[in-house]
Amino acid sequence: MTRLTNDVDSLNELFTQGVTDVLGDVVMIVAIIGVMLWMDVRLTLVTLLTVPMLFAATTWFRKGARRGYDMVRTRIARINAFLQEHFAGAQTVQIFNAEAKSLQKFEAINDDYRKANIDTIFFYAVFFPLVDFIGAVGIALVIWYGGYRVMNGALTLGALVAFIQYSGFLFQPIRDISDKYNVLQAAVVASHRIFKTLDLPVAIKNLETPLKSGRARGYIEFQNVWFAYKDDDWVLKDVSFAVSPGQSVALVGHTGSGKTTITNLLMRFYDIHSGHILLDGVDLRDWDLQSLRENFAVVLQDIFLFSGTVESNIRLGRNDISDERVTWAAKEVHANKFIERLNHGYRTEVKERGAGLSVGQKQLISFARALAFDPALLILDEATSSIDTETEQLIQQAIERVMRDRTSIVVAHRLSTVQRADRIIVLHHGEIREQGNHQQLLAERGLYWMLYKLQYADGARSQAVTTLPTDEEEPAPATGGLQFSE
Amino acid sequence: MDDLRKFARYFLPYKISLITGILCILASVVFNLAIPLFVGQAVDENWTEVSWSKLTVSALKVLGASVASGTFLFLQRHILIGMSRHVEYDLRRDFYAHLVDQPLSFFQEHRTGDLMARASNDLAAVRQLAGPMIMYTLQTIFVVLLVLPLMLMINWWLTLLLFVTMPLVSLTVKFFGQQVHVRFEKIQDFFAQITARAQENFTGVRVVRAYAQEGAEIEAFNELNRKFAEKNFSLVRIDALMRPLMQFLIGFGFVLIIWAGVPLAVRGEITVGQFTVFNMYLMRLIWPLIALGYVVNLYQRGTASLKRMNAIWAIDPAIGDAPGVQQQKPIAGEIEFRNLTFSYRLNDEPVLRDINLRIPAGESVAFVGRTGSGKSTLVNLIPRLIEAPENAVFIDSVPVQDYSLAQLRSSIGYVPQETFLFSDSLADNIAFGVEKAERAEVEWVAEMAGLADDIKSFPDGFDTLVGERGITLSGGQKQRTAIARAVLREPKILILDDALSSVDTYTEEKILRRLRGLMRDRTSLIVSHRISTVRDADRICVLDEGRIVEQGTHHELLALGGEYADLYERQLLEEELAAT
Repeated sequence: MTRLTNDVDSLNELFTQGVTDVLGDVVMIVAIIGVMLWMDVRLTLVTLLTVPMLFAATTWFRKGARRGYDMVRTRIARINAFLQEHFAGAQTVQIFNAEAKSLQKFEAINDDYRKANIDTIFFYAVFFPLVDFIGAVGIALVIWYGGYRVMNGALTLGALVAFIQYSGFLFQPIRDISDKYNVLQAAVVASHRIFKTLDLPVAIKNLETPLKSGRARGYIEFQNVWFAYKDDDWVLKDVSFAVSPGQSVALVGHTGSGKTTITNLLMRFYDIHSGHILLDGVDLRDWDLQSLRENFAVVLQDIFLFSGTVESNIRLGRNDISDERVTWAAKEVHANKFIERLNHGYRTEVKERGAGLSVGQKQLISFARALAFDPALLILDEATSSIDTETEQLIQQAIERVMRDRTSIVVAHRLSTVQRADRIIVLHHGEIREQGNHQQLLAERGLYWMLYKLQYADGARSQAVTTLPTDEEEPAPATGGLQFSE
Repeated sequence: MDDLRKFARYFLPYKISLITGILCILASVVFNLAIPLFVGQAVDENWTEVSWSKLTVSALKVLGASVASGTFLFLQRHILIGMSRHVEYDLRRDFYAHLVDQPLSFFQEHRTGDLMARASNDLAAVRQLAGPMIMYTLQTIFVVLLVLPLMLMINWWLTLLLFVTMPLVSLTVKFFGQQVHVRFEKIQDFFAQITARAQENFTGVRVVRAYAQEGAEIEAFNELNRKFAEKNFSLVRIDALMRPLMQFLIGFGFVLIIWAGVPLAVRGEITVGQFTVFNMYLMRLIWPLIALGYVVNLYQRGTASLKRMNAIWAIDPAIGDAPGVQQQKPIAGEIEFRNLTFSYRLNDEPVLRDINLRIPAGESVAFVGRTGSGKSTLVNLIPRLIEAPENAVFIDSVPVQDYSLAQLRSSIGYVPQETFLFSDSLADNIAFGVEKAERAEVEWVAEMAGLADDIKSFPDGFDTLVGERGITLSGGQKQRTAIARAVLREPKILILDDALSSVDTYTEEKILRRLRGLMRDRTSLIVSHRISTVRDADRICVLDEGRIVEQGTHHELLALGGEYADLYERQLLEEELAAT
């Protein structure tokens, strides 16, 4: 992120205020020095003695000011983070009578910021007088040495007066250039970094002439797939299975069993180490990448909405999806009711990451998105958080609707989804341990039966369960126990 | 003007700095203006016959004046800009202190982004008013006031010529400076948009890729980029116009001096030394004249920002201690709602209607009902997160408004729907609401809330950082942290506002069982939409459209066969569906 913004910014600075000004300054300096040299070579050289001093002073200032500026920036960032957090959490602060305590904390970081600023003032406070002083030294030198030259008759007094003036004019452009020199340096470093990023190879590449593109029928086959995110840390070991067009498959297994990895590989976010993954009998690597991914629609557990309108989130940049299709898709997944109740209906702005919408509503929107795209294959990574009963029903209906008539791979958390699947694949430590439908697997009394007993049966003993007992969806450190989430 | 008067109070603690700083400006200007005089003197003294010793003295005088002027310039900056940082500190602290007392409704009305803008951009503009503006204004005034008589003494005609033309420099800076600023702001805003867009695409990269929308996103980004470049060009164009114009005007000043001054010198009306002095004064006038234009802009921006900040300052916290509020007897925990009808705004449809409910100390009461039935609003009235009408909500037969907020809230443990954790360690987050907590107590409440096992698995246990700079907790872990936080205060009244929604039913039951023991002699209120959460409460109230429509124990309500039984049926049905 910083590479994208700050470095481009440094380059931008160079072009907007660097080059043109430097050119002007150089012309000015050359002209003045030329005239001075023509009038008196020795006095010119004495006058120019101040130039290295000026350069040194500017460099010192630039460095110090930059360091101070960086410090000030990190500290103001802390203040802003604190304020943002405490404005958003003001209710919590109040309910716990923590106003005074939080004020104390704020005073501490506010003070840090003040200190950083006051430290930075030093550089400015020294620099400006120092530059004036160097200027005065220049004038003193001209008077003193120039006077000596006049005394010897090597120079007229009029020329000396002119010299005094010229040395004044020379000063500004030299100061500018030594300033720009630093901008130039920063720009060189920045452009170096930018080009390094641009030169990085793209890991997943399209074949020069892809063998296959267009809409898939939806036949998936994994043949002895081995995959690791790093080194020999195998996440999938010799995984083989096939899914016929229109079939739905639920992947179950505990944390780290490789469920989500399978969905990532299907869309070729990563390439596998050995084995084959085939779609419609063609190796994924032979598919046109764009076309391959267009065949999928994904609904992820962490619903991500982009800033824009509800409508643009359903359409997600595909302008060939008509308004009618957007409303149709929303209606099919029963999202139309709440959308139409929003202030501007489909044109309602979605705020940062979907703030203002409930979890359930965001899920419904993402289902509508999947349906509007009408993909050959659906990948669903189910969310685990619970929602009120009515919305939950809507979501289950939506899932059913979206899965209809297409090959679906579901990382399942809802019992209802698992049961509805044509086939369940039980993963354990990257291997497929069991396959079959709900009843068959229960009858086997194996891993699935154990998972079921541990999770659903226990929780469903006497009370209504709308969700599965997993709430550790995000960090998922090794908490032990079998879980249906990843 | 009123805004400025309020602002002036912030300078009171620093009046000595302010006065010293101003004296430093004066001293620095005086010495700085002496330099041309010394140079002119040197020229005149040596014009007919050059004297080495006189030259040396003049050179030393110039250096001496420069050192003195520089020293005062250093002090002036250090003192005045330093003071502005102190003023900034005070303003920021007061701003925060003012906001942290504001009730929920305030934060619903003012978006966080807007408040942040006031706390950063506006505050910075006001700071400029306090420091740089004062400094540059006085500097300009002193220079002009001192230079004017000195120049007049040399020649009034030359002086007049300069003072007619040179203010054009200030006008140029003022006019273009404002344009530059406006455009620059636009660029900054736009840059923020681009950054946000890029960030969003990085975070949402899986979605973008999965839907094969890279092309569309890149196109959209290119479009933004093109616009950004255009805006930058508009800034560069203004800048490219302003600088040469300034240069021209300044150059014009020198041309005037030569055009009018050289004949004067030739005719002997002024000496060559005086001519030199004039030239040097003009050079010394350039910066203050530029600064003048700049200062006018600072002033306009600063006062506009000050107005915006004062607008926030003028809002008194809507919920606060009543004047003369007294410490009441320690709270035992009896809660009563008497003829409570409540709406958020005057003419709005009431969210609660005719609520009459007495909850004896120590009882546990659950509230169920559809989204929007008013259950959250009802419990929010107790800790005065939302202000109830007078004489409608009582604790121990005393209206809630008659307690101090500190007393009232310190007796209540409240777990909200949306847990808010701060970027801090887990231990500090749990101990958020207490003055000081022993580690053992924190561990104990974590155990109570079913959080202990999770914490053991974190890299640094209780010292693990959460939030932006640390790990992200799952929804359930967050809620359990909030429960631990509330329990640690040993509240007389515990309010769980849909606080277990992200916790699975199995863990929920464990937590509730432990809490039940702890809350035996305390009042607890539980809001939920899950039967499993509420079934064991002493009493269950069913709310519908702001009214309590049913009341009783789980079994009584099932026997009644109303709304509650309906809800139960539905949840049971789902379970059965799931089990077959």
